[in-house]
Amino acid sequence: MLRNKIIDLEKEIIERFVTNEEAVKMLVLNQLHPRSTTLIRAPRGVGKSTLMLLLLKGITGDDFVVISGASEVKRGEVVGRLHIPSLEKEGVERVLWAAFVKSKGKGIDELNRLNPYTTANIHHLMQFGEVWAYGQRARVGDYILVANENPSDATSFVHPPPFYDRFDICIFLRTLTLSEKFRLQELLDKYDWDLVGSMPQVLSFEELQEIREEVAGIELEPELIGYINLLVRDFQSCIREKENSEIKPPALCEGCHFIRDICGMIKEPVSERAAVALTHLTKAVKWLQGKCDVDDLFRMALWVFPHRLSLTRTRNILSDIQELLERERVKMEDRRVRRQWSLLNELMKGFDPSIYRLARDAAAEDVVFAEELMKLEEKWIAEGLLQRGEDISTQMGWRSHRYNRWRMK
Amino acid sequence: MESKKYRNFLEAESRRAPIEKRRSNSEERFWILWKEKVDRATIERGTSDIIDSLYFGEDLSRTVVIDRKVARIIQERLKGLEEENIRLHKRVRIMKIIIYGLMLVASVAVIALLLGS
Repeated sequence: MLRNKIIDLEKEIIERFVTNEEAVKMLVLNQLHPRSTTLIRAPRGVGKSTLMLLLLKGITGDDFVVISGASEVKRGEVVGRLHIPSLEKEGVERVLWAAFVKSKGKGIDELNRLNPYTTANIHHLMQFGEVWAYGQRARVGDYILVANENPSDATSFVHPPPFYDRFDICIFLRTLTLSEKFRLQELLDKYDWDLVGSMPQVLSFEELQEIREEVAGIELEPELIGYINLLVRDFQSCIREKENSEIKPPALCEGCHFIRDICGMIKEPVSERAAVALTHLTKAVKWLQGKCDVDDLFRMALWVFPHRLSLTRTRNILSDIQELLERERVKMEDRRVRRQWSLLNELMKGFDPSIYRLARDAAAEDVVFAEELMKLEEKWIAEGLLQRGEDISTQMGWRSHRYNRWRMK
Repeated sequence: MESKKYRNFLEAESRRAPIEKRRSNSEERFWILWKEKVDRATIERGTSDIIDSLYFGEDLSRTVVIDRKVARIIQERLKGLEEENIRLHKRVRIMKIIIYGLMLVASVAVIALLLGS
């Protein structure tokens, strides 16, 4: 059974990889959708490369290629090189595509050291599923891509945020505790100091593709889809539209009504890809375990957000995001207690002054809800049900650019 | 045009946390009301500094929140301490009796010695 194979894969990796069990579980879950990309971040010597190789070996056997950012990788090694004899004899530019392009399993060691040119090629591969060399294009089929990096490495290149955004999840590994060090030594003895060599191929890539098709066909409940979108929107929204502002929080938040909200802690918001990644993971959990609840969603968000956003103040990115997620959980519960979505549901059916008054009160404390209410207000103003000036956006001074433009039509 | 899934989400949330619209006596106004449902999801709140205070003697903050597990630990601990207290009390009483007995025997022995000499 395919589910058992995934469980076995997880078991085989955990058997060879000390601690960080949640990270391993996330790593395996993230492989259950097409063209999966995973980033592993950890200090040096914690096992980033080992974990990457264990996964690649467990799924693709020997059909994987690892390029190393630490060495001077050239385009020929990553994308393709020109076939010189064809050029000399026939005057034809034939490209020999690199093994990295053709292999099902792709690994990038020390991603942070990858030069910007190679990074751009890999970025293009992840974005469009194709590579270009010498004016020729090669389509890249389904694959698994795992990269690792040590963010505190002094020789890092600063890669652009959109590049990191292409990674579905980012898992963090921690150093081993005292007892875990003993466990690692036992494991090394058990596997004759070759953890990766001892890793069996648990499933074939074709089986993985079959699983990916099954996972893609999983239907999610409206509640789960709603919470995914709500969670991502709460980590994006800003009544002053920070994504279009050159001034970022906390300076942008000066005097803002929502200064104490989650939005005030986030300098660069997450992208829409966060919702896509969370949807893939939620489907994968449902496929593997038969169910997925809101708590699972919050646990997974911890691995989907860290590489996609920047905070106004970061002490420890994981615990900072964990703290924001806990606040977010309380906020979602508050929304239910205040019946916000029920009010909005009623207002979607038609304008009702009694319900509108309650919705305005709720909007004064919730940016995401305010955005939805403001959209309805514009509709009611156009229909003559509400006067300009009576709406919350005018009264609170929330003049969103997109709504103003819409008003002008 | 709103997405069908968005409408489904709002409908689902409305079913979980419904509101009621009731006409007031004046017939012109409406009341919007709702009741707290029994199955309302509760947020897991962690225990504040009570354990640190009990075991490490640290100062408590103004408000202390404890969860059921910690309350159970404290209950068990109080029960244990009370039992220990009763046991020690009994032991003290027995020791007192023994000491009085020994003192009596010693004084009888001293008197017997004095009379004998």
